[in-house]
Amino acid sequence: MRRGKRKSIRNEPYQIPTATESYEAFPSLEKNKEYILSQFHNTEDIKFRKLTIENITCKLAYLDPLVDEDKLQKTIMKPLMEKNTLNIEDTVTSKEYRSSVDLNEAVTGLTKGFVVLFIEGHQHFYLLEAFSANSRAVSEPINEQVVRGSHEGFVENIMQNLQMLRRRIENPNLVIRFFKVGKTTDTKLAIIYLQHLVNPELIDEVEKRITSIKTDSIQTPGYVEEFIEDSPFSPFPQMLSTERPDRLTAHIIEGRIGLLMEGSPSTLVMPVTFFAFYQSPEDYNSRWYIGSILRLIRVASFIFALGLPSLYIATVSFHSEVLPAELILNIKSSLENVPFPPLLEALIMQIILELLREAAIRLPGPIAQTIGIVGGLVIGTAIVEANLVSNMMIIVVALTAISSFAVPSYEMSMSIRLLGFPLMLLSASFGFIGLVFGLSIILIHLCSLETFGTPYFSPLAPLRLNELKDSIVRLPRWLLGDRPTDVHPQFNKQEWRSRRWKKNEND
Amino acid sequence: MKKTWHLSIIFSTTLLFLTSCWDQELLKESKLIYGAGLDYENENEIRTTFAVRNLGIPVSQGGVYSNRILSVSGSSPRDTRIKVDRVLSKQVTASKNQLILLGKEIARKDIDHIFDVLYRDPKGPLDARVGVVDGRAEDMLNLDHIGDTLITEFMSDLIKGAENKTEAPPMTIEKTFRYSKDVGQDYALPYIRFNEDVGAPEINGIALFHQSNFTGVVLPPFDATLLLLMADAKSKKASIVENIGKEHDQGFLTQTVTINIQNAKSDIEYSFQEGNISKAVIHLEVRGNIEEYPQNHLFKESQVENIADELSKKLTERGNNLLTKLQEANCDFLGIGRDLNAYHHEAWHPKQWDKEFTKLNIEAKVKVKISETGIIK
Amino acid sequence: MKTTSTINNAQLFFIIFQTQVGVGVLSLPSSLYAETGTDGWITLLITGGAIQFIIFILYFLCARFPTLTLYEFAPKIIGKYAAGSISVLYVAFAIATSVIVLELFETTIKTWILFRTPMLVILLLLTVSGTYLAVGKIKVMGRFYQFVSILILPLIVMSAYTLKDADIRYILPVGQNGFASILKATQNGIVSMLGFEIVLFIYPYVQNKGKAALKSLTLANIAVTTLYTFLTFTTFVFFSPNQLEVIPEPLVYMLKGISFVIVDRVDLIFLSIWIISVMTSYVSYLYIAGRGIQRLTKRKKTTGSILIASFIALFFSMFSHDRYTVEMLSGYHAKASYFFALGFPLMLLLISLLFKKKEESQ
Repeated sequence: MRRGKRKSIRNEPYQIPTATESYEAFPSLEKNKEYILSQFHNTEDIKFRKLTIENITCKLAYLDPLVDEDKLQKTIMKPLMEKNTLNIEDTVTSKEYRSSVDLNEAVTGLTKGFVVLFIEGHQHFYLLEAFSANSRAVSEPINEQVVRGSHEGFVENIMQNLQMLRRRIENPNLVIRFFKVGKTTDTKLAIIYLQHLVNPELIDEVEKRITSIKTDSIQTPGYVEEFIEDSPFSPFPQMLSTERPDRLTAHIIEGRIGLLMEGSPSTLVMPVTFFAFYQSPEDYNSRWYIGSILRLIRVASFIFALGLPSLYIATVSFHSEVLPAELILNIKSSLENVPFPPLLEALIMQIILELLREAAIRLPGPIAQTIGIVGGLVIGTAIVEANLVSNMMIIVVALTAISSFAVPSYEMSMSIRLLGFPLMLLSASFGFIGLVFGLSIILIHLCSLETFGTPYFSPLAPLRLNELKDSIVRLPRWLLGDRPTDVHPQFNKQEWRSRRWKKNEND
Repeated sequence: MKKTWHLSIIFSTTLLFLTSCWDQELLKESKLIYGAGLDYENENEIRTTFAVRNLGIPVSQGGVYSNRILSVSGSSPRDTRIKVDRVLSKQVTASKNQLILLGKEIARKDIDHIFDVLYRDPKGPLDARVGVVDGRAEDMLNLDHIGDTLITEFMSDLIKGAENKTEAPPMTIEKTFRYSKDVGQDYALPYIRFNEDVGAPEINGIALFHQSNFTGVVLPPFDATLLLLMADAKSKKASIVENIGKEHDQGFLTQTVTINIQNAKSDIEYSFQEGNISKAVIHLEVRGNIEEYPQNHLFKESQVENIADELSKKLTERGNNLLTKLQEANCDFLGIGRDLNAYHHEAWHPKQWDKEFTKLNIEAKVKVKISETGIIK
Repeated sequence: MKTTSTINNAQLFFIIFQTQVGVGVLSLPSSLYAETGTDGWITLLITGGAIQFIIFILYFLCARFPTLTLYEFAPKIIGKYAAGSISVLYVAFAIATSVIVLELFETTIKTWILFRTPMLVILLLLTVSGTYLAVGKIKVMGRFYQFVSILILPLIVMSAYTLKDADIRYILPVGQNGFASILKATQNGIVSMLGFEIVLFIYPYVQNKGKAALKSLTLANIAVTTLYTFLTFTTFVFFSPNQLEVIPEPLVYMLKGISFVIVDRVDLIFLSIWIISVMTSYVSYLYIAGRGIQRLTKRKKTTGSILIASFIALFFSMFSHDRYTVEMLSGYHAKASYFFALGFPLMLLLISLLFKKKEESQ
């Protein structure tokens, strides 16, 4: 086992190019530009600006999202143009200044928000700081809060969002492609991915789908999602929507593609599997067994949210004999004076619950709490006392609601509650048999669902035992040597025996 | 094509729902039978007494459970069920029946015929406890409650308690089905008697059955324990109280010793003659702790061994008496026939086993070992 | 952008396994008991051996045509017209099997759980969900079968739980009814373990062909044999012999009196899981029939042909109703199945060996 692992390290054909080797710059501007562009895989957010100083052509290169326009103007362009001298060090007023002949240093500098100044005929160039400090108040997204971990959230400005990502992955392989979609709105979309990692077919496919969008307007990422997803009739969300940069970063590093849109803080991740919706970035911040148990609880919450009401309905309306003699009396006595069949009871409660949820979202915080109290306590107690709904059903529906809210993704939690309804109907018609058939239809659907060439229910179906350790549970990071294979990344290794120090340690 | 396909699925699925729920049996629309007593009425009729659970006010609102006892006669158990359904509101269901009591008289008939409906009905309660009542089951159920406990709960707890103390074999309807079809093994059911002194029913031993008929022989609880130990069927607890002779009796209440049995091992040794079984010796070895020995303190090992020897003797004697009773009743409780079939197949004559068993020379040899004397010497 | 439509070897294992485990498992113990008494479980072990032999034949046949299904390679061996009629027979056989599965399913559900629900509705439940799975093609079937196989574990746990009330003496002495009757009962065993012939139709989709595929097939056979022997064994030691005579579905009956902590009537849970196994067998045969119809009618897509197959199966399964008719029909079907599981493949293999017919490798 261990030997096999070491071997695979040695045979690893690809190492992440982190621009550590030096690469001498050319005296020619065009050649430098070419090299930098090739290092950045022709990313389109890199900008070149031509200048003429002392009649010599110069070129400024910078990554647009990272550079502060004001700084660029005031500290670099203006002094250069005004003084018109090649004595750069004395001319520019930016707070950091470096000179180098190593083009790879330029590449690294670019990813850090430096402006690179190339001068025709000179081999050495200058790195000038013009990092954008501009940021609107970045706050934690309220629908994806975590206890421990980053509290940063995307904002409406796509450049600022890209900057957050660039700062999290300081690597020239991070490529951004821009698209303009929508005949009237001309909305700016960006996809972001790691060139050396992501499956090239996947990039082509995503680009093909985005470019085929012909519409008047794109107002939310939801529009894009509906245009490019594989199965529009499926109840399951096939792209993960997140407002957390750390979450998006984690997915990009697994070899997925992120989609950002100007004017929306929520971004889409594709392709994702079912279990991506059950993972939260904070899983990796807590001890691994705590993280594992949290994940298991979430998987259990999926089963509860989906099947609990229908199981209850099937039991009390078809198979009451499965309940032990002592329990059956408790349940029966609570049901005794309720005039409705269990299905109707469940529907009433579910609808009340959805109403409460919907009402609470629209109201400002303090009033929403009042709604919660009025709804939860007052209606709950009153409806039992009025014998409209039984105690048991309140317990069941409350458990279901709580379970569905435990899902870290809002769309998924809605989908699951929605799927509960046909299951309830089936179990109210056929008992356990109906429930089993309903569940198996859902399972068949999950097995056949594919998004961007990725099986949706992986790693459970198709079963990949090796990947269960970072989907249903979360094992320690150093045991997760390989990336998930469902996206077919260009190389699998993501961890190279980080704990090898342990071996050399003396007692 | 794809669209038609989707539509066809949706249509056929909705079609299923347009109709009603055929098999729905709402829990709240049902009346639960929690106990039933069966009695001999006359040559062609049976009297069934049902204990139906009433749930007027929910327990959460301060209500209490009560039973409604109904007695009906009919030509078969199912006939009486149908009749009782006529006098009760809601649908009667026996699926959670916990207790079946058989009157002494009806138990002597073929209980296989009486239980047929329980075996045959897919919703039949196979895990209900069965007991034989001294007298009529009807009278027992008509007690309605003992103290605060309803008679149905009281009875099934009584039987379960006896099972835990190794005073009755754990017999459910499923087990009676199993053994009454088995030529090579018979069974016994707990025997319940109304104790006039206490004013409540008690387990008064076990009623021995042969095939599916009660033989009329009842073993007292102490013998039942010994028999169950011989059958290697010790339950959670088993205690033996035995009078151990004159030299131990030196004062008020000092003639007995009680041992709490830790484990028991029973082994049956067979001897054969001309391809027939001639003798069966049951070697029972019990290891136990002294629970009570009021007469003296036990300082020496020899004292303990003395008691053990005395006990072994007494229990062997008792065991032999008990086996004679078994043979009189023709109840092959120990499954000697089963053993023969399995391990000495050539000596197994299923057709003559009825006769062979009564004539068989069976002997018990009990050996008692005492390992602890409690927390004092 | 789609994933490849192949199945890996684990999925091959589970497809064979789930196709074999099906509707027959409930009544198997009592039908074995009827033939050979309490030695029935030994019969199953022998059956497993016999099936292994058949699996070798099927494998050698498939290995000669690694990228073709039976419908495609049969014309190469025996010519267009003979192959056409064999294909038609296989389609008929697959549909007949689906019909038997549907009917047995319906009668069992009707006797145990849904007493009053109309026959058609029960049949539709299985047909609709089964067809939905079958049109997903082989890769979805592979994923689904693999996933639901975890449900076999609770079945085993439930049956193993009854062992606490078991009496080993019920099956002793071993071999009391003679070896001849054990052998004779093998046919009852084979019938309930049919399903391995699906390999003739899915072999081209297997990723690693050759030895690895044979290993999956063999493991599947071992797994099924072990499971069936275990389940039969538990019923045989649970029920006294005379009881087995009167109980047609001992496996369910056995669990009826069992109660776990908060669940009484474990048989209902058992049947609910068993439904999935029935569904998988049904889907496998639907798939075989669908592929055949597609091939015969020269369609491009399988979806339509699978729909046709499921409609035909549904139509025919609506005729007979009671347990006795179904038993009679499955008797005929059992006899026919020898030809399809063994007879035809053996014939094709011999002819292809004789005339050295083989798929040309590129």
